[in-house]
Amino acid sequence: MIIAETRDVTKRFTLRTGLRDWIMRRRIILTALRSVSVTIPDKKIIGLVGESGSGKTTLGRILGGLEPPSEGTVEFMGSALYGDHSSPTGKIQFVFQDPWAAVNPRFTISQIVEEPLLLLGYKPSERVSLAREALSSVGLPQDEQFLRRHPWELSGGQLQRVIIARAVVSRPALIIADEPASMLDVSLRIGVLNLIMSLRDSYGTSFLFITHDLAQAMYVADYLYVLYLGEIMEEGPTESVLRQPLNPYTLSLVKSIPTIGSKKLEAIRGEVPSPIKLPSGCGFSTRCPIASTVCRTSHPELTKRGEDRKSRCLLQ
Amino acid sequence: MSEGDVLLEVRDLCVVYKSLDARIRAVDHVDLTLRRGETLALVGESGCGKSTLGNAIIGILPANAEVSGEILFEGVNIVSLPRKRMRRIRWEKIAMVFQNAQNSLDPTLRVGDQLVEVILAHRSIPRVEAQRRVKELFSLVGLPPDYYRSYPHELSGGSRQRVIIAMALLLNPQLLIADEPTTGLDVSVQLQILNLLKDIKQRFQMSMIFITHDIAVANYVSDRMAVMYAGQIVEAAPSQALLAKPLHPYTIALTESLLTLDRRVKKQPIAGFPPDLSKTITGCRFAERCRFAVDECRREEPPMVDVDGRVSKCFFAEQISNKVVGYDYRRD
Amino acid sequence: MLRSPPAVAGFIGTLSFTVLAIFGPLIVGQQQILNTYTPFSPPSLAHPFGTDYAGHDILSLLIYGTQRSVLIGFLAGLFTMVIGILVGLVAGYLGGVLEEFLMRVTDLFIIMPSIVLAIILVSLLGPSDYNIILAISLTSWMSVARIIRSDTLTLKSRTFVEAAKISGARTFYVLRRHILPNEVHMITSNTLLAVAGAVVIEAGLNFLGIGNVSQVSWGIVLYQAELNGAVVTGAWWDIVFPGLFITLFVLSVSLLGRGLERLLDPRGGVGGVRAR
Repeated sequence: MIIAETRDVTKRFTLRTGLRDWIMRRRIILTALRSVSVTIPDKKIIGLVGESGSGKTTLGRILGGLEPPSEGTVEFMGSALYGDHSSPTGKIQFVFQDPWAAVNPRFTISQIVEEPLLLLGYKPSERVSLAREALSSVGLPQDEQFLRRHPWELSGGQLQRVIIARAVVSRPALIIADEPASMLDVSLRIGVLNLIMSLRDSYGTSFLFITHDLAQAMYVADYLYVLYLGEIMEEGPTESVLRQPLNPYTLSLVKSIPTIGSKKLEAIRGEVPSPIKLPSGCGFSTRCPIASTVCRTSHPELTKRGEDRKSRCLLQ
Repeated sequence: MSEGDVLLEVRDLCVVYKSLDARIRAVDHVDLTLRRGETLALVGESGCGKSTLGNAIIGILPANAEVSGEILFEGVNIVSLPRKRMRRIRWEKIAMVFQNAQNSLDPTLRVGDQLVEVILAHRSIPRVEAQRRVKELFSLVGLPPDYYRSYPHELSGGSRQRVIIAMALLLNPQLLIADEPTTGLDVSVQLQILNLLKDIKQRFQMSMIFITHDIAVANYVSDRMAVMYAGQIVEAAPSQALLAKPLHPYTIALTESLLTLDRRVKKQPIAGFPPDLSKTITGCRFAERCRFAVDECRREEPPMVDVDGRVSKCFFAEQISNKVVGYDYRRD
Repeated sequence: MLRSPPAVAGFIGTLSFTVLAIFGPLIVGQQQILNTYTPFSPPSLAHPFGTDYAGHDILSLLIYGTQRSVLIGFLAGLFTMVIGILVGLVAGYLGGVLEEFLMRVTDLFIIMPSIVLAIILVSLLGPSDYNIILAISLTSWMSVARIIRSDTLTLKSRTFVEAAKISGARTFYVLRRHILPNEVHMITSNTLLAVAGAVVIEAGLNFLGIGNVSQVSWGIVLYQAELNGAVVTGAWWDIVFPGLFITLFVLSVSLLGRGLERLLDPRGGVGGVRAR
């Protein structure tokens, strides 16, 4: 079953401009996503990796119903997400990078976890029992004393678990997790990642796992989309994509991560171009180690490679 | 190695942060030696005291910090140095690259001019000469010459970090302290900065202290690594050897929780939390989370044990080295 | 707060003035004030603050007048806050054309000299205490509105507000549960500042002879001193001591406000160091 799907989604933002731009009647357009199609099946963790300016966070917000696309369609559980129908309240939840910003500092743990249920109109007794169940599923205590605590009394890892408990409490079909473990120490990071996998297995919740860290994606994601400058450069089952990358961009990324024992690595040259001034031709052509003249003039399509993979490159 | 090779020696250093109702022992009896031309990585998780140690060496601790012990830089104890003399040592002899490059630059000044001002504050040379020096350094750190006239906000994160590195090099320091210099940068840019730091360290024949939470990054840039836990150094060794065969249970746990791209194995987090540094801790600080711990570990603080020229703060260092303890675990 | 001496001093000061305001008229009756027949006598044991032009004991006058000054101050301060918070919240949270309109109105009030505006208002409405309260509130809500608006703007973009909206929270719920509770510390301290400000404006208006002159207040004591030539005769005590009362009140209330702001701030007060 397919939980959510985007078809050819493009997103442009018009930037707030200065006085000079206004006088010259100039508008600055930032292209965050270019014709992106992703599919999120049920009971799967879908990884979305990319650097800054790749549009990964924007895609998460569009899939979560927070930001309508400029072009293209988004479907959630079979109906259009940005249509006339009411939004699927409670069926999509988010987990953000910074747990401290994601909670109202005046709320207690029980208020944080129960809030989605309160807003959906559950009775107090139901709220309490469902909240306890959610806390137990993320491995936190459920006693009164813990429920009455405030965010500042918890560690970052504990608080991120509270937020995940809040996300699962309304039994959503999809959780959009934007760098949920990146701010945590390595020892706690594994715990949060394991939790996400166990929630997929026990509740059958699907996750959109957004990260810049290929190693985290390797660890949790079933299927992977690699984004660069608003485009999917490569997609496929995580393990095969990261072990045998087909696209020069994925390959360069994989090769630029120091691992234990690596001596001298060759860095990708240059920096990510600005999404305000996209390069002509292939987006990666300005930095690609194997780019030829054709790469700078014509734009490659995302094409099928082998059984279950796709890559966007003219030289393959 | 002869005495003359030692650039920096930290002896029995303690840093205590005093607040109204607590005394937090952020750095607790730390010994450290840095040789000339060496890169030492300080590795540990948040709150382990690695940044405090770095800040103590360059002398920029906040006012509520209480320092005891010695920091010998070229044989001079810089802990007790008067403010004025410490200010001369800072930048001229010891420079620092911070985690957040954005905050280290004045947003209202062109980056080139900011660097020129730094030189002129320390050296009485003509402005033209200072400008030439800045341009020279810009090309050395891989910045195009026209960036000289840019404002900080016009630069990307990577370029700003290059400016900061150039700024640290202005006065030819002997020691560079880099505190998480690549945090927040893109994966591809991170490697560029790491390579740049390695390169300039060679070229300037500096020593470097590289502070990071990422053991793979530490391994990539450093000759030697010191692992910190709860305010103490628990293990120190040449980098390759340390990661090939960690001798402290905490280092073992850290290497095991490192996520990699080549294998997909289910991992377990380190159970429990680091101890509260505002309380008195008896015994080994890692004992509560350690799978090898016995009663003795909770009663008595382990000494620094020497094993094959490496040190580990664990009663079982020798046994771990001989695979008597921990062998079974590493197999499954 | 207990560990911060200025805040404790502010608390004690505010408490003392409150006690004076409630019991002042009981402590010193009308009798005591009218009791002496030595005009402009300097401070002495019998009259520690000296006497005024008609031989009134100044200390008694000031104690008696505390009630009126403080009451007008508090009411005007509260009213100022109500207007400021409403404007700030609506402008900050709802945004759009409404925000544009409200903020331009705010700017309009800011550029007008508020004391002149207050004088005109009182002259138009008549010199009753209620009209003074109204005039003060209508001319001093602007800074509160601006502060609340900018804080609401920041809170609105915080992740937890977004998270509540994802779960279906409506505007009123978000304002009541997420925005206002996180502004309590600012509201408290600004209320106290508004009270302090109101007392000063009220004294100013009274000093200029605008307001109900038949009743005693700190400003009226000053007004009478000026009117009856305290300056010319060198009766400094008739000017200095009322000024001292006003200064002490403003100082106490402001210090208390700052202390409370820290105590109530969710980001640093109660929890202290947050374990990251």
